[in-house]
Amino acid sequence: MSRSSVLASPSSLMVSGPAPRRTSLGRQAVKYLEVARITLRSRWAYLGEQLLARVHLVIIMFVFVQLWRTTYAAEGSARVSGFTLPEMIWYLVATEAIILSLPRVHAALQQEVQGGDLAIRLNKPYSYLLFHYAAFVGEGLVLLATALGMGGLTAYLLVGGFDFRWEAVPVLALVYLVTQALHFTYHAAIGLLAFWTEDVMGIFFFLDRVKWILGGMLLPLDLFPPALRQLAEVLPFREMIYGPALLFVRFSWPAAAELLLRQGLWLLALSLVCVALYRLGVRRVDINGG
Amino acid sequence: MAVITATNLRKVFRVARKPEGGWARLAATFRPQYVEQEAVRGLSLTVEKGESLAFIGPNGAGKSTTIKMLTGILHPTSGEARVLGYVPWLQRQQLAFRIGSVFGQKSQLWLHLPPVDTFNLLARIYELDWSDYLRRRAELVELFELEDLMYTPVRKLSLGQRMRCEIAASLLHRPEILFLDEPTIGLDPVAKGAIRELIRRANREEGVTVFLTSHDAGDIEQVCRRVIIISHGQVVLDDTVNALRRDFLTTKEIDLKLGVPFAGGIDLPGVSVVKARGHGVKLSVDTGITPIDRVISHILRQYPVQDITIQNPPMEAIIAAIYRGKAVNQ
Repeated sequence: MSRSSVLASPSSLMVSGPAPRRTSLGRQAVKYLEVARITLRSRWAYLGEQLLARVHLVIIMFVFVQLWRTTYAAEGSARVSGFTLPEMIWYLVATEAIILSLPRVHAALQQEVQGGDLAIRLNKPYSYLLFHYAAFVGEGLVLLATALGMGGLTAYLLVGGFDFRWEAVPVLALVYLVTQALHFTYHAAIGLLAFWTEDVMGIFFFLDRVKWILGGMLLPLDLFPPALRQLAEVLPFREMIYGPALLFVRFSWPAAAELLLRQGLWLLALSLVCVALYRLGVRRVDINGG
Repeated sequence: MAVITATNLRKVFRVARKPEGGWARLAATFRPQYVEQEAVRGLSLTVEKGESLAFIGPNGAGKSTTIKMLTGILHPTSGEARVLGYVPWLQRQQLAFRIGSVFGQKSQLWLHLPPVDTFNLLARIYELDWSDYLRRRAELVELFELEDLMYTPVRKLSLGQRMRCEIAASLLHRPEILFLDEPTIGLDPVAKGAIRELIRRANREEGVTVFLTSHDAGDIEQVCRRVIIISHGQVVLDDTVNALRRDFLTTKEIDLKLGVPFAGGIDLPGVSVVKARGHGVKLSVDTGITPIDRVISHILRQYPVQDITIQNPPMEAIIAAIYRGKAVNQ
């Protein structure tokens, strides 16, 4: 064992030691699926509270239905930028469901980095980021079910249904999972800034609102002024909110393929950012004391 | 065979300094100022397989920082370490399969779910064979007497019950080394005794190397054979617990609540009154001069006693005694 092999320096990436344990991909997958399952169960235990927290969605939907009804009446047309009234409201249901189904991973990361709970996470044989991603998926699915259920029921009662393509459900589920992964990387990257700054909540608040606006949470991008639409085109937020919500109300196979491709590219880029931030940050961990 | 070696481990924390005054604070937001705190200063140690080591010291001595470096959570500023052949901070995940850890102030159990769910999750995380896991779980449930706790949500368990579950969870994957950071903190004397007994059994019966940090002298006496005391990030004593008991743990404190007001009269060699007020009295006893049982029978002959507590002196007093001893020897 050479001295340089164990020194606490950045150059000490090559180390000797016992032969590394090989883990099959299947076992790795089971590990993270179990994390997702237990998180889902933990959240499910409080389903009543979750549903109660969704009551505000009824009010939001009611207000938006009134606003859009007035707008459509003023336009004197059955379509605004290609959307019928039910499509517009169901688009809103989809964007709200996406946003409301995102667990507060940035806050969890900040708490762990600064509160010392990182010690519990880092001494287990799993990837820290994949652990949090699995937990994000598990918790997110419960949040999605309540948001989609409450929002969908309200929309159905207020404006009725729309021409939903039931055969597209598997693809939409896949798109949702990729969408959720994109949001995870975005939120986690902000949370990981806790390695450098004392409070990430202010940064998160700002960047999250930028995402909402430029992602088309309240208004489809088709209604944006041209300059703003062009800006939204080159940012990842379009693929995080507008793209999947539009696909939900106006599904087409070519649009689904294009969206998945664009999402995949952004997911790759944001994942790299996340991993880089984690690798740089974990070296700076400052959990002083017990 | 050495399972832990550390040479000249050093950890320096950079801590942001908060200046007083609004403008100074605003300026510090853009140009933060840092001060360096050296938590561990060139610490070296070796732990052999099967040892039970108490790694103790006062608050801020560097105990938790050392344990976090040895488990791969913290990167040291400089120095070397190997745990079971791995460099902890570079091979953290590989090492994690072979060690267990319990942090008294942090829980690995899922608060809203019963312990059995966390146990099942840990079985997947440590990639245990499922039938092996079920056998192991049954063993631990019996040993730790967890039958009635396994299906109760963790939030409804007492701290002592939770800690029993925490330690059992850490032993599920049969770790070769168990790191325990203040496992008895906040527990009542009965729960402390139970936890110490369980750690001792893991060491004696399963051969698990125990690396225990605590500032409770009772943890040392009742669990460990060897003790390393650190202060200000440096080793000040590395010896057997028997030697520590002989040299430094000769003093006990007795807290008494008497049936009548204290009126003096405990004139035994090596016994001094630390504090007396009304019915309450605190005595310091040098057990090397007068054994504790003689002191108690002497008191009982003189006073009606309503309550009695015997405890070790605080860790700070032991460290001070060690420093005094060293100074005398030099």
